[in-house]
Amino acid sequence: MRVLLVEDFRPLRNSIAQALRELGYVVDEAGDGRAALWSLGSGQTDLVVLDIMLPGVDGFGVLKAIRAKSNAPAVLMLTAKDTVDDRVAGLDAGADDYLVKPFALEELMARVRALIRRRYQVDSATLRIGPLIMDLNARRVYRPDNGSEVLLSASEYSIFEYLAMRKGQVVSRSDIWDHTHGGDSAPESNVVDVFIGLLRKKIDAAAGCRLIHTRRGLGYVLAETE
Amino acid sequence: MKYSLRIQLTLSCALAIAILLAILGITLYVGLYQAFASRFDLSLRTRTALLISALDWDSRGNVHVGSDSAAQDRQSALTLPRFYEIWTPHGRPLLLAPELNHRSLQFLQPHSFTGQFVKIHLADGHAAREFVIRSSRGDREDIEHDGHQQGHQDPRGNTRQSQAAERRPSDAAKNGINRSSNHRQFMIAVARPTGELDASLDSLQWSLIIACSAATLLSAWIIWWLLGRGLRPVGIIAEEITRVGVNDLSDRISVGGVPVELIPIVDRLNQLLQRIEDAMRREKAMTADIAHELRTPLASMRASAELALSRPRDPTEYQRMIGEFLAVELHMQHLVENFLTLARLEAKPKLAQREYRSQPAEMIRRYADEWQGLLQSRQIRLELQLIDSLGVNAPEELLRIAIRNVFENAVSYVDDGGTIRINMRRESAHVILEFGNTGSRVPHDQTSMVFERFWRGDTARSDLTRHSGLGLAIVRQAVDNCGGMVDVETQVGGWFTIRLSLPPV
Repeated sequence: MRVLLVEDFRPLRNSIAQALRELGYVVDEAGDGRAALWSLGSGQTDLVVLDIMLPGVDGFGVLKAIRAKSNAPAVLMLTAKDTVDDRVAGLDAGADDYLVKPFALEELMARVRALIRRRYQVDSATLRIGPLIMDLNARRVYRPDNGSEVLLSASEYSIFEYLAMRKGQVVSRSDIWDHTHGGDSAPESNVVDVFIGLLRKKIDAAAGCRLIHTRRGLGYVLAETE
Repeated sequence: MKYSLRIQLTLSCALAIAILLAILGITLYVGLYQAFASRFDLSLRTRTALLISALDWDSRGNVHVGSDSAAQDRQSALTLPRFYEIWTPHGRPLLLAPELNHRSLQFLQPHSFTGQFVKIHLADGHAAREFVIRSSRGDREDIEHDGHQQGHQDPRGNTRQSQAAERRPSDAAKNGINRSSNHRQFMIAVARPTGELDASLDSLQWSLIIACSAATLLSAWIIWWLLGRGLRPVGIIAEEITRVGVNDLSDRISVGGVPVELIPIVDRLNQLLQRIEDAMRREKAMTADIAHELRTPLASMRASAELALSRPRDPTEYQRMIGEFLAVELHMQHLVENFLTLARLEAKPKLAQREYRSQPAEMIRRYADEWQGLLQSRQIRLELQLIDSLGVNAPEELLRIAIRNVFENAVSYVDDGGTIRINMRRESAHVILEFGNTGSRVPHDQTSMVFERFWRGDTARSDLTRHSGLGLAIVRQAVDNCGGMVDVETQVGGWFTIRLSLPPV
């Protein structure tokens, strides 16, 4: 999942970014409104964590630009202003959620998870994929009938999570790359395929059936049946 | 007890009216009393004259009241008195009116031939007035003449002696010597009950008292009512003030419907409200600024601490995180200190005109020494043009705060290898201190913003140096408290100059 973090106070930005990365998110950072708008250009962002008081274009300006886009990312506003008026102004401007500084990092992470789930229309924090269960909060995959856990690396989990969120849809390689690894560089053509190969081996072995299917020329799809 | 304007004014007006009416009433009463009494006395004297004319004397000196038809005819309007007594000049009774039932009237020697009035009680207890006069047989013209002369008599019988009245007794006495030898003289007293007179004077008195009291009460009520009406605007203003307090402070008390006398009060109140509103707005802006500026580093400290604790980490990573935490803490400490400095400066009133003697040149040199190492390491050139003899009429502490912050600002924003230039000069009524530095990135249209609280150059906050965004706001406030002015100028070549104009010694 790809998060754009817009915060002008560098130490705070660093901490949040690190926390998000440790939870497997791909994080783009911006220190002001202009940089934020530039980062949004790629169109792959799932969630924007947005400070209101920014130099240059302020949070509301960025929010307006986000809302003008099709397939707009979810927006979580961070602000030091805590009056009801401020909250209403933020939500009215189109923010999906609102968090007042200072906040618990745990709460920020929970809200980030919730907003991303909502964006992919996933209602529950646990997803059933064939015989497997994916726990989005604990970031693990297991088989409930025999209690065995599928041990995945962080990259493998991220890719599997993304596929699970878009279960039943064909997902292109570049989408997978952008939402799970990111970076400005274009993916090496076979990096995604290598990860998928590793993932498929573990998942299919644990599930006892094929779950990740290849759509030649298009990408991959996660589905219980062909 | 609460002081009520309405009650006070009503009482004092009513008191004034009561005193005025009392004086009027008493004057009226005394005037009428005298008029009535003198009429009464005149009538008594006339009756006496009538009685004297009606006396019949026989050759032995006995006397009785004759039916003198001539006298009756002449004085048809009057009847003979009912109570009278006649004595010899030595007090031997000659005749007592039958109505007196043998109870003698009071005998007294009148001082003169003009007669004397005295207040007595008749035998039946009724109050009466008695007129005593010395007379002689056949001198009725004299008496009558006297009666007309004696126009004004005090009812208590004290004769107000006119020039004519004073002369008369001596004439009479001169004549009297011959007459007394002939036993022609006698004393006559006539009394008349004053019941009617007293009754009418009593009723007059009571009418006046009742009328005056009623008038006082009525006017007090009218004044009370009028004051109520007159003071109504005060109540309205009070309501307005309550309304203003209840709603937000941007409301003003309307002057419409307020009498001219109260307009200055309303105006002053409105000015006061304006000042309070301004203060509140500043306070609110300040609180919002504090909220933002303190919450962000707080959030950062919390986030980095929670992040550090979220999982086991390498010692080097802990070191890095703690270092970052400490940097934020230092930033916040600096911010809080600056904030308190600014708050203290803002709370202080402007200095009263006092004589201070501060030496800015010395202070600038001291700070230059302090920062020498840093300036050298960044290869910054420091050009000082100081005049030691120029003193500033400002407290040292304020001047030091201003110079330190403006100096810090220059050091913070000058580019590496750039120049800081500090000038001093005397310009008419000011000592001018100029702090210039190169490397400014302040856009030309935003130069006037640099003194605003928490204003920073575009991306200044993203690099966590010691910028609180308060330095120049502190400078402006400190200079303002000294009674000086600040000014800013940007020039081509990235020159950014802050100019302090301070009062000279």
